[in-house]
Amino acid sequence: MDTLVCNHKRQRAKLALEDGRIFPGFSFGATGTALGEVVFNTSLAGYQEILTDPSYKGQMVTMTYPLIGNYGVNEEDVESHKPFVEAFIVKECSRIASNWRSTMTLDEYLKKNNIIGIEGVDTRAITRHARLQGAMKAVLSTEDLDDKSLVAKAKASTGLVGVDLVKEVTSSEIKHWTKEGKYKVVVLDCGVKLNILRELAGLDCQVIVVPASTTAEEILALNPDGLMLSNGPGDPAAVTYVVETVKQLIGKLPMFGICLGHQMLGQALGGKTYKLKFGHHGGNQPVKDLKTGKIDISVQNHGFCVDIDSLNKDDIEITHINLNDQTLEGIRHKKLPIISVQFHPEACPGPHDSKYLFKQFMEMIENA
Amino acid sequence: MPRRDDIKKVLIIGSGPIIIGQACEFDYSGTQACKALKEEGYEVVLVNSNPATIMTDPGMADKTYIEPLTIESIEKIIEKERPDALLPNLGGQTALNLSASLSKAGILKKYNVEVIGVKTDAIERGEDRIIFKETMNKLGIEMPTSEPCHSVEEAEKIAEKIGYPVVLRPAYTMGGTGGGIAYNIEELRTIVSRGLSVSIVHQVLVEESVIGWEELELEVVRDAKGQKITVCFIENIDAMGVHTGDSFCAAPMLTVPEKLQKRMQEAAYKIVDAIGVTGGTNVQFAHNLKDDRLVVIEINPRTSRSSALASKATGFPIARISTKLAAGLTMDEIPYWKEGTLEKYAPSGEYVVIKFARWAFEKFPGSQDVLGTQMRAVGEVMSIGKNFKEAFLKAIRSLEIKRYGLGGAKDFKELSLDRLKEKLANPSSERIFLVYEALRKGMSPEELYKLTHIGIWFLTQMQELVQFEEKVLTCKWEDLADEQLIEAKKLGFADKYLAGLFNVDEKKIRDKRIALGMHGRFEAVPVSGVENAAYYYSTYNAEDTVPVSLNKKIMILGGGPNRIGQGIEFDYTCVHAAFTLRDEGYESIMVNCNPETVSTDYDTSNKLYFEPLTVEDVLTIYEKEKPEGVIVQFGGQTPLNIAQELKDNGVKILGTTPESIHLAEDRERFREKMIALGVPQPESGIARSLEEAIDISEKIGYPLMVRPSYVLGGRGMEVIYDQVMLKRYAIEAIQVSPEHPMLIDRFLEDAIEAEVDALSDGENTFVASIMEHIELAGVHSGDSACAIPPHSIPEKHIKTIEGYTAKIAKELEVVGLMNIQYAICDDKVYILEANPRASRTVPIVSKIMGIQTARIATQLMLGKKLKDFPELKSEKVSYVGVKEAVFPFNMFPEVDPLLGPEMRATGEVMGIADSFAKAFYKAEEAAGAKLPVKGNILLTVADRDKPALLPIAEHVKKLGFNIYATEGTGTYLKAHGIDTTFVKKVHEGRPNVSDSIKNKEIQLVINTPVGRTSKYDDSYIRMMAIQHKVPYITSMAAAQASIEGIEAVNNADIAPKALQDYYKE
Repeated sequence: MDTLVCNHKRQRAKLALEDGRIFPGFSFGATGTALGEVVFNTSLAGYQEILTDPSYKGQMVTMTYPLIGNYGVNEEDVESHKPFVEAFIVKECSRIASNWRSTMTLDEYLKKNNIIGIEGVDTRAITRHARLQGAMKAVLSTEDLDDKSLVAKAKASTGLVGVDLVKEVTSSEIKHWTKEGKYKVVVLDCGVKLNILRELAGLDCQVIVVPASTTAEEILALNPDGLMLSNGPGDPAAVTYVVETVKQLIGKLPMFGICLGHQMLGQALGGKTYKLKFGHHGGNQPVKDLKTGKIDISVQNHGFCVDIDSLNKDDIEITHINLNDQTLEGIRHKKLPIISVQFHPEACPGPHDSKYLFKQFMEMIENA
Repeated sequence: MPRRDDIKKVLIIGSGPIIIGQACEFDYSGTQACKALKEEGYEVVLVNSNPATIMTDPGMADKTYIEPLTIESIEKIIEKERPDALLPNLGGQTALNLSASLSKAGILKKYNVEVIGVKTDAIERGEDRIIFKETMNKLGIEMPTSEPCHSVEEAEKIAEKIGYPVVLRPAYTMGGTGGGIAYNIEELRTIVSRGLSVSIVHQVLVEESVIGWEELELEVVRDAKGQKITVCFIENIDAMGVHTGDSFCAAPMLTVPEKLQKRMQEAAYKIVDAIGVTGGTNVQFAHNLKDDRLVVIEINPRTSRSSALASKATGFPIARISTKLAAGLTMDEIPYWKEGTLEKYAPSGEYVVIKFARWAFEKFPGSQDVLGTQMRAVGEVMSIGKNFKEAFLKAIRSLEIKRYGLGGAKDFKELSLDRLKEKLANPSSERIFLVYEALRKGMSPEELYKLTHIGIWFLTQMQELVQFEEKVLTCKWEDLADEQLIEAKKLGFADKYLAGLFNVDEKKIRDKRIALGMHGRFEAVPVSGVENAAYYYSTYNAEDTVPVSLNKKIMILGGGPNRIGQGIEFDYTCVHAAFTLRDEGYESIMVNCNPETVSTDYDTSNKLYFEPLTVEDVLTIYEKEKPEGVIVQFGGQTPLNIAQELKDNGVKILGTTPESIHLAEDRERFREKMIALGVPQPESGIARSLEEAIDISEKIGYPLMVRPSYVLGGRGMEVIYDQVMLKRYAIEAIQVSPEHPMLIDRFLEDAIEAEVDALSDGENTFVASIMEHIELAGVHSGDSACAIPPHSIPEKHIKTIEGYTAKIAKELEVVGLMNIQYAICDDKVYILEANPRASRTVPIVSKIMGIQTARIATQLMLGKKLKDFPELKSEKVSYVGVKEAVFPFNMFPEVDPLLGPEMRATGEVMGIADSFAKAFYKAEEAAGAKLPVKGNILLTVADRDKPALLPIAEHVKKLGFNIYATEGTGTYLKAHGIDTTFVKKVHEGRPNVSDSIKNKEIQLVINTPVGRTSKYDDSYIRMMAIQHKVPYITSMAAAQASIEGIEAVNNADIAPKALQDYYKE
């Protein structure tokens, strides 16, 4: 059958969720079969930044905004060197790229990077389903269109729990991202977004990015003024080697953890993590700063969380909580220069809300 | 920061009459401002000269002044009311300019009035082009290269430096008034001299042309703490070179990368910080796709047409929030999203919004349908869809231009590609429809981009539509695959358009798609800054997620886009209906697609459907909501056009039946009824051919009034003096509407026209008021000034009119409102026409008489009887209100500004005072034609008007004026003993009338047209008067009223008085 765009014969594709829901649509990008967890993103623009965000490793991203790909893809608007999403789910993918900067269409870009896309599905319905039913394992295929077989595959897939995805996305060697700066900050790369690096560089930091497997000694040998624990994908409990490194560095360096980095720090400080039934996805996540009473409307993408009760309250102060489900969103060490937040204070794309945390990190370094 | 307690009383200045570039979006913002201030506990004093607004309803403010928007008049109000603060940024450019002038004149200081929101120095920083440019330089934000000039010579030098073409922008104007693009020195001279005369500071900016660049807009809001948010990112799909008011736009931005959006946001934030605006600001950018250069074009530190659109597109009430911020609140004190506060707002939503403008070139014969830097649109529509195509096609059918899709407009499909290209070379109101046919003929989006600068992505979207259309057209309706129909609906094609393509009945399409499960579904647009509010739109591309209540509900059909003849007045009645329904315990459901209005504000009705007013769209909502009935008589001609078809499809119409409405419009049947009732009509006939027309004209005798049937606003109406004119008209008229015959009436010469707004319950009738027109019959009622109550109609005729009205209402079984027009000629009352629906005079009658006519009419439709309203008595009021029409002739400099049977006014003002003469004077002043009390008056009238001129000329002399007269008029006056100063007409040599006007020797022009038979056209006199802002009068009746007004002002001071105080009397 023809697709929404009348001139092209288009290949069918199907998205199947582990609970049996099927969303038929049409293929774009690469063909084949992909497995992953279905999550959504509510940004109006900025799809290229989302595709290249390493935190999405292991996940299929559904864009709730119906028109995607209109301005094509270019070299600059990236959050890392390549796209990491397992699959891309949109309502309508633009056939052309209407922008002077674009080097290719979204379709071409996904083909080139071997990522499967599906269009012509009601992305709002998928999002609603994910909001009501929680995170869900899924399969997207252009080869197998049999509903039963697809659902079985989705159910049988490993999912995110217990899987170390950090090793898939971290950098392979130490990189000096900026050569100069007032403070030397090491970024432990669990899948860092470039925007975090840009933010640090903007605050006059000399930024050194190191692989996730870098040891405490190796980090200290770089003689940094502070340590940034980056965001990243997947189950924090599976990344034990990073937790170990962090444990050894506590008390030795000012630290700032974001998202997965926050979860690493939480574990290093003796806390436990668990999988949320309803992960936090999309913009409009209300986060309360318990000190000021202010509410941040943040962008988030995580399915795991540090258990608020597992933390030792003598040492650790709860600074932020999520108002939707009262889960932990941020902590501060009462004695040491350590802060971390579950949400993305650098947020690209999304509301530029919480940049003050970066400044706080700088102050911690200054006073250390 | 909490609300300010040191302020108790706030003055709000409205935007005055509806004109091109400043329409009812300011009623929307002003109404929100009034509500927001009252909510915060402030006392509100409002001044606005426009009576057709919701904001001037006596309940909206504590004191409502319908007074001229001049410095003098506002000073008097300030002196009387002693407000603590002035809110300047909710009444458009008018209010902003007035606030700046009041401050400059020291008036605000004198009475200790603080400007809140946008301080006067901020207004200057934002509006003065020199200061603005300096500020941008300091901030390091690029602007197009430009220099201001104060003379034509200066402009020439600058243009030479920058290189042609150059854009010319007069300072302190809106809608691009007086501006333009000059491609050569000649055009430069013309535009600059025009621009200097309209700029209040005589300053024009000569600017590098950025034609063809992308035009992008941000709506940002800043509070007193300096917190900033961006409410909406708007992408103008038409490129730079077409005024934003004429451009079609999308929100959110569809083809602009995130990074560029952030760049603009950063620049916009720097700008509003530097200017120091508290509240909403519109920032316009131009972006060059070739080299990524981004420049700021201008900002508007106030609510605007764009802010109204942004509010409706996002559910963020900018005017309401701006007002609260001006009152001292900050965004962290206003709720947003689950315990959050507003400074954390970020645009969201999963839909596409399209704005499309509506023009009125057909109303101004001789005007050129070319879009440029000066806004020409008179109204606009907004549509919401799940994808661009759906939203775009919805916008087209929302326009109500009898087009339900993009193809087949006029004869465009038959034109050759070359001809289409030629037509596309200059942007016109038809460009999108031309683009569609060019795409059909195989032109590529890339080629079209070069010609039109419309983005390739958008052109490709249209191309996909045309390709789909061409493909399905290869088969017949019977052979159309189900999947294709489903796809067509998902692409947004209207049933009616498909019906046209396949040449089948619309119902067939509807039945089949419903059988296929393709019924419209609904989604919500949530409202920010308030709790639990939303409005709704339909789509064929999602599940239905909008719940329906079990309450008793009634649906109101709104008036669609503003146009000449149907505007804000009809929105006023719809809004009142919504308020009344709520008070009466019903859930009110509004359907409308005009983003400028109060009716599409989120809290006007219980439920708002932002949808086109077509049978398909209305039926979809009706079937979902299942209301008890639908009100069609308030939204002007728009709902009436579909009322019968709705009824035929099972919709229950409340009040007067569609059959009665139809009967009143069917001349032949109506005539029979009038004869039966014994109500006289001017002799008339109906012609279906030229021969019939000539026969009838011979029977009745000239002059004649002719028109096609089924029109609003007097479309195509003309006074005919001889057979030559008749022949020409008959051929044109029959071309205009072939299915409908041509109506011919005797033209009642020198007749006084009177108009009635009445309420009826089907049995009894109450005449709310009789209005006496100042201009004689022959001038469209919407264009004529009128007085309420009548000032010269004898009591016996008033009784007759009331009697006829009651008879007709009963005969037509009117339930609700009715408007009837009468003429009094040779001591006899004739009926001209009856309209059993709300008319454009409902708001003004309600305001002057203090009767809530729209409210009562709604209650009557719900089943109440007039006897349930014992307070309705024909009381005499001790004051007079005069309505004056306001025209867009300054925007159409090539058009003769004459009044006739075809309506051309865009808006109206009201003067209210204790005598007719004073009220008339005020009305003229409010309309921008302040009558002089001394100086020179030019008299030049047609021969037939000369006898009537004598008493006027004598009166003028007595008042101390000098009379200037052209030869014919002067000779006549001299023969009757009145001395005049002789001036030459233009063809008689120099110095002439034109020089006198230019040299400001003449303070008032009284000029009745010599007519088409005259050898020399005298329209230049009237055009000159407009250009040089000299008040001009084109009828003897208005001349008489003006002189009375001048005399009244000579003898007594004119004081402002609030509506609430008039009612106390």
